[in-house]
Amino acid sequence: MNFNFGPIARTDAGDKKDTINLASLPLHVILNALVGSTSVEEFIAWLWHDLYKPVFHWELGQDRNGNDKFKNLHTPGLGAFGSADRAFAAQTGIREGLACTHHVRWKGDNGNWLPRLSLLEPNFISDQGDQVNLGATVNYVQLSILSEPAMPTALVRSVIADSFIEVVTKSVAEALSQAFTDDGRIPIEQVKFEFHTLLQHGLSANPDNAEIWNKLGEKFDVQAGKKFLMRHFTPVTNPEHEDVYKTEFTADLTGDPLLPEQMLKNIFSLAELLTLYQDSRTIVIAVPQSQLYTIDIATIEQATVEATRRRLDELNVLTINEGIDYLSAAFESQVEIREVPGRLPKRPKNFSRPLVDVVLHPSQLLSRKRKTPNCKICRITGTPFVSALDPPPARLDKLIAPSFVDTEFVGTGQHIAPLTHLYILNSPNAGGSGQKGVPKRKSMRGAFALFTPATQVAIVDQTSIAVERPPLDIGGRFQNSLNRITVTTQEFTLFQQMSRRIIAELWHKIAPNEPLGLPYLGAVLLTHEDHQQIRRILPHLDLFLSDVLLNAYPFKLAVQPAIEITFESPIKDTTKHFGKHTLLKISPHIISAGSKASIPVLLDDETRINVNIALFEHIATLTEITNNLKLKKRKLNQRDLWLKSISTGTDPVTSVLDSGSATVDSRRLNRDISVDSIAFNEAEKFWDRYIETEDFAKDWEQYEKLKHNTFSAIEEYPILSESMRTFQKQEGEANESTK
Amino acid sequence: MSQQSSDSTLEQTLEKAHQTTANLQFKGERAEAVRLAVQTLLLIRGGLPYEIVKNNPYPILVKYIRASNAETLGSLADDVLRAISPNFITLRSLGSLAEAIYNPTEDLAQLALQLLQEETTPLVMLMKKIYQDARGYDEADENNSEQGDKK
Repeated sequence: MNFNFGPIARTDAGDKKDTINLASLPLHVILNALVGSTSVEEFIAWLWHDLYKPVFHWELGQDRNGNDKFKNLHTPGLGAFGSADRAFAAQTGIREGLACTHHVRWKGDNGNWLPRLSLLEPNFISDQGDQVNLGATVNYVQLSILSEPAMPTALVRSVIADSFIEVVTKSVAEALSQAFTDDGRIPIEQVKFEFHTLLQHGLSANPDNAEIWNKLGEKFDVQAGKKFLMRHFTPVTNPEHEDVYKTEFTADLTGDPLLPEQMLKNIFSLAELLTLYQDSRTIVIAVPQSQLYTIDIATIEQATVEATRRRLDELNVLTINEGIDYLSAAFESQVEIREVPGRLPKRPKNFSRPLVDVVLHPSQLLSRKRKTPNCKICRITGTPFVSALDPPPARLDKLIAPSFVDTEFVGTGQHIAPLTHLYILNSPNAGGSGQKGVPKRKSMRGAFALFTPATQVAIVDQTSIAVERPPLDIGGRFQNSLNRITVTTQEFTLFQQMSRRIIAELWHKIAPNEPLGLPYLGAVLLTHEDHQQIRRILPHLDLFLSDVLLNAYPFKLAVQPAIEITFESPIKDTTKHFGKHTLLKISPHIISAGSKASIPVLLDDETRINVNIALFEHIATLTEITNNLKLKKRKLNQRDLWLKSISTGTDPVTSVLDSGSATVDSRRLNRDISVDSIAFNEAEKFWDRYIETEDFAKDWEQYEKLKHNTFSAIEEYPILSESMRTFQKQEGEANESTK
Repeated sequence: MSQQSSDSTLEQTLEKAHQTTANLQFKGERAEAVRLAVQTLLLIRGGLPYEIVKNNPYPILVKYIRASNAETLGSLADDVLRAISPNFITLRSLGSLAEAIYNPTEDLAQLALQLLQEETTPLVMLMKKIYQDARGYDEADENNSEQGDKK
């Protein structure tokens, strides 16, 4: 997959570090607006404060000590863009000066200091090398789930996470909208960034400010309104870059979930913009400054419980049984929502608010639980917990499922954590299910698919060479490679955006018009109720096995967005599977998308395969071959017989002959044509199609190669002949691995 | 691959096919065994009477080779020829082929036999292509004369 979210926004030009931040310009400015504004006016100013960065006008100047320093001349109101601040301030209804002073204070025409934004960038984002710090002045809300990331709790944990993000996102959207209304403005629903490229820019080798303005600057535009629009232009030198680096980015501030189709058109939900970090234990969300948004933890928690229950009801997950509210019990002892401490009014000199401390918070809480005198360890997930919840039934058939036979959970007794209790509780016959007229409960047993964006920044610390030197890079900022990729909180959001879109692309192939199962979390969630959809995912797993490129002018970089996958799809026995299988045999697995990735997939209780690009290549080859084996006789078809034949070690040509013999309908043959002749003709057609060259010796070589490849595939994937149909795309669907 | 004129005699065809096979640059450990296997098939093919040939002999070849339990290459050729037609046709061009098959190096013959028994169809297919290339047309093609095969 290729992504283009707009040109890069920042490089660390301050000292000798030749570093690059990958977060695109629109991501950078929208995040600044969301977390750094103390008023609606500032919010608007942040949106266009870096308006002219896409021109990439760099000069080489000097710092206070006389050392060389690259200068990025991009500020509205200064230099070539001197007239822009006043014009766009008027156009967007804010005071002149807010945008042009975002780096340095300036005086206006009347000699007075121009107004400034209350919090400047160093207060909420800084270039960070080896340690990512949270913004000093940024408000964060954190969800911690005190559970080992084991499979039985995956469904409830992911629903809690989705509900939490939904609740916070909607409350932020509502607060922002209200703030705009209170300020006498139309609330912004969408912020749209257009990035145009200009090949015929007509810039001279060393243009002055007037030329830059006339040929570039005056083309830029900012239009206020319900849809806030910004139009940018980047001069390029290589004709190939004219299309590659042209893009749009739309931030949707309504708080509504997006359809995959919208996501794939570079529309970004408020949820994904606010979510800074997510893994299987914690979610960290940035929220606006207190002048725009009031953090009310109790309300968020209550709303999260309600949203979680609503969603679990939809998924047919029992949460209350015989008067006991298991979900509330789980929230009481295993879920914590808090405001992340450590926010400061300004960023001090020796600032430290490490992200890792926040990420590890759930582990610290678990560690504390472990030291509590009445702590127990959950026998199924290994989670330390303290709870007064009554123990689950002791009988195994009631504990797991009527057909469950494993005995490793005998004697679980009281040692079941509340979140796991929800898993235990939801056996096929729980809560009156399975009786006459009531379908069995299949939400927590059987086939299961969960694809979640994982905040795991997998990127090689690569030397980044610009695809071209931008025409206005007079100082040579991009002349040499930038040797390090610097990760800030904004890159965390960037990577998550890519993970979300890879998942959205997957879902778009399965259900083009349906929202994701957990849209705020950006996750696909399917239970055994939808086992057919789960099975339809299998042929599309190659989406995670293709390399990912990020086009961010002037760079093109290989990246590996991370995705957490928990997947189990039976290829046989789908009807009774939920009564036999317990989810206990699979575990979540984080992959970095790319051609080297491998996805473990449990196909039934006995078979696990690693799905990788080689598997899809084998399947593509075998599909191509078997698509041409079309003979059928009653229930026998040549394709299946050919697959069975090669899996017994018969060569591919003889397999065509044998499968042809067995599937020729002799009743329909003319007297003078024998079954053997038809079968031999089939084998000969096969030979001519896949083997024949211009040289007999090479024919044999080609035959041996085909035989070797076929046997290798069968040897590597013994279940290939059985599962091949499962991994084949529907007619008309492209096979990504072979594109 | 060559284009032989369609009026070649069976004698010329076999000679040409034999020559082609002898000169093929097979690769790998099985190269000589593959060559010998194809030569065996040419010998069998050369021994087939017109009555068999006119009805597409190749499926029949595959059938009888796979049905044979012969333990030597020579007995395989005998088996198949006897099964298809007891009237063995002798041709001068079969001489060196017959020598290679009935008096071969032991190991090579065993490997060729094994190949013929296990990968009959692809070998027959290869032989057919070589033979027809030498012959200049497909025997199954109704537009072509089969007279060259008549005895």
